[in-house]
Amino acid sequence: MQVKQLSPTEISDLIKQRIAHFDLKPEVRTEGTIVSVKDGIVRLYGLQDVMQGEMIEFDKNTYGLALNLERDSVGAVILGDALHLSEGETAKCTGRILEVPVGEAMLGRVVDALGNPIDDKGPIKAESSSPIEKVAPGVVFRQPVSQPLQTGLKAIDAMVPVGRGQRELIIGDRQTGKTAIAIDAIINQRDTGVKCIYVAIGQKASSIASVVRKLEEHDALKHTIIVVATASDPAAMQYIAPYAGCAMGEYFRDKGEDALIIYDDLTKHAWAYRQISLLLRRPPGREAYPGDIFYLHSRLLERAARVNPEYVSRHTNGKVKDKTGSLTALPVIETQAGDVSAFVSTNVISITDGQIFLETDLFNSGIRPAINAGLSVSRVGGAAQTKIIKKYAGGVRLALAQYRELAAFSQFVSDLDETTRKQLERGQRITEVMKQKQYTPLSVAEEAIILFAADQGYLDNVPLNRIAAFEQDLLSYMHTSHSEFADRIGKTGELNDDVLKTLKTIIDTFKSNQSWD
Amino acid sequence: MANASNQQYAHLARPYALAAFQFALEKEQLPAWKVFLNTAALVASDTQTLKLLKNPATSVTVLHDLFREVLAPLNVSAEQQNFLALLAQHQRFMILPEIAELFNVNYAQLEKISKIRLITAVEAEQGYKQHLAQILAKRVQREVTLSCEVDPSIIGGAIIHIGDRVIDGSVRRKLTRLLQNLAG
Repeated sequence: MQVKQLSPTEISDLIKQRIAHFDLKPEVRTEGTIVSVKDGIVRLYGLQDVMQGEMIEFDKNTYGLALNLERDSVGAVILGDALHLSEGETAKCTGRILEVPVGEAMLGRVVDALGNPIDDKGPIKAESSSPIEKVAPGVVFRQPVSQPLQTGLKAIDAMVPVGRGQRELIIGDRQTGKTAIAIDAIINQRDTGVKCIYVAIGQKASSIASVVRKLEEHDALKHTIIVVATASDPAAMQYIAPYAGCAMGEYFRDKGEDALIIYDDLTKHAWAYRQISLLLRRPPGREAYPGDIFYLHSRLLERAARVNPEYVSRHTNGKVKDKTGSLTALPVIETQAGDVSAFVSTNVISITDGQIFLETDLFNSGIRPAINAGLSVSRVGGAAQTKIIKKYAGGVRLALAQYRELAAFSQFVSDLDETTRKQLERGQRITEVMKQKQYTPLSVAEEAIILFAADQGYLDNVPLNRIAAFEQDLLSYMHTSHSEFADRIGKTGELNDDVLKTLKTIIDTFKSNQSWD
Repeated sequence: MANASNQQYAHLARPYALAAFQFALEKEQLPAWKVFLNTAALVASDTQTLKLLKNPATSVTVLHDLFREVLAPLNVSAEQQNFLALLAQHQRFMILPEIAELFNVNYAQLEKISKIRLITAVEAEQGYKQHLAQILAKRVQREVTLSCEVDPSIIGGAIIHIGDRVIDGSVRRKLTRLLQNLAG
């Protein structure tokens, strides 16, 4: 920290000033006594006026969260280190719900679940703070999802489009590229103005470090807040991390901006909550989860929403008018051996507006992102899809569905009739087109031209193993020879005869100049 | 105020205390029961008795007889005898202090008496105490009994405990707050 040189008299003047303005009223508080401390849980006696979810202050700047209000005692989780607490010490009510700092100053920073910086970049001068638990906007303040949130991944933007304000689940086994999709989506928001929050829950510190480094490398950290509760943090911190991240995202939503939040992952969040609940002696239910495990996730994901201009202007005291705000959520769930019928995954599937289902088999056969086109759905994103992509993506889904049915026959291509053979070949090519390298999100124009080429059969005479090269060359040709066209499509996403004609000419000239057969 | 370290027995003691209180209220024998229970609690918290109570080899009959004999000078009524027998039957002599405590709380509530702890740095004057008791009585709208303690570590001012609520006007707190304020 930089310190200006001050003379001793100035310092004492400053101190005098602060002492003069110091409020010296007696403090009225409710006190209790610690009865037991174990496993990050304290049991308190007294604290008659304590509220559910209220912060409790212990000695030495340690705080707790009151979760169980019982007849004779209060059960609370300790936020942070509990080693110095002991039986018989006093605890105070604070009368406040837990708050985290929010605001623009948080962007580009890595913080813990309480909003304290952990990236050695100095203190954060946040504009304000916000309670971590808030009630989601009501029905009257909401607006249908109608703007696209481009993830930059062809497969997702074409088949399972995500709209601003939508909740889309990313589900799959370990090592199927769930985080990769989330990171690509963040990188693709570089120039869209969408603020991103990445909440890492119960992950290895090393994985989080590599995510931070990758975002930095791709210039995507400046619009991102990373909220971290690693596997070594107490369960209480892992439990509150998503709510803290959500509060930071809501700040942008409520002032009429768009934000994207990724919860990576909610399985571990449920585990942390299960641990807390069992230690608080709440009765266990299915898979030993407590009874309110559904509410745990539903109240969190309900806060992702698109709100109408009235809501925004009310929250900004009329400063921002005629702008909708949105918070898009991409929760991640890790399944065990592809079992989507486990307790937490079925819960989150039913809460969200669709899911992106990733499969190990696809991943291993080289289809990356390993999206299962049959099981992945987006229940509201279609309304928000960019027109031009929507038009040419319709064929993609159909072709892939037909291909899946016929794929078993692909060994006997020679014995099949002409139509079936065509369908098979189209399916193979589209599968090939849907592949995409990590950290290379595409713009709307890029996605549009590739989907157009695939849909209109321009790829039919290109050999399978050269599709990737064809795609790359086509994109660089478009950027060198028709850059204004690409920019225009990227901005407007419009679809008219003129655009179609240009698309056609670009591909025709590109194909005629080179040999792809 | 209940002793925090024994609070784990509160849920065991509550039914006994409540039953005794309601019975005494019905029969209009509250003062007698109060004396009985508090004496019994005193007996139960005596170090010698505690040794006996905690020893698993002590038979229940021995304990029952002990309480009966010690409490005999109080002219123990038949119902109070039964109460002791009930405690013996369920082996609950250990929680007598909690039962008495909860009984006293109920009693104080009925009589509208609040126990207030006053902590000062130096011994407070009698006139000041009375004045304070009057003000507090008005504030909590009931009679107050003041118990005073002297704790030089609070430097100056006073701390008032009304049940769980604490009114902290000590110089120590002001200084800690000032420290936090200047540091933050």
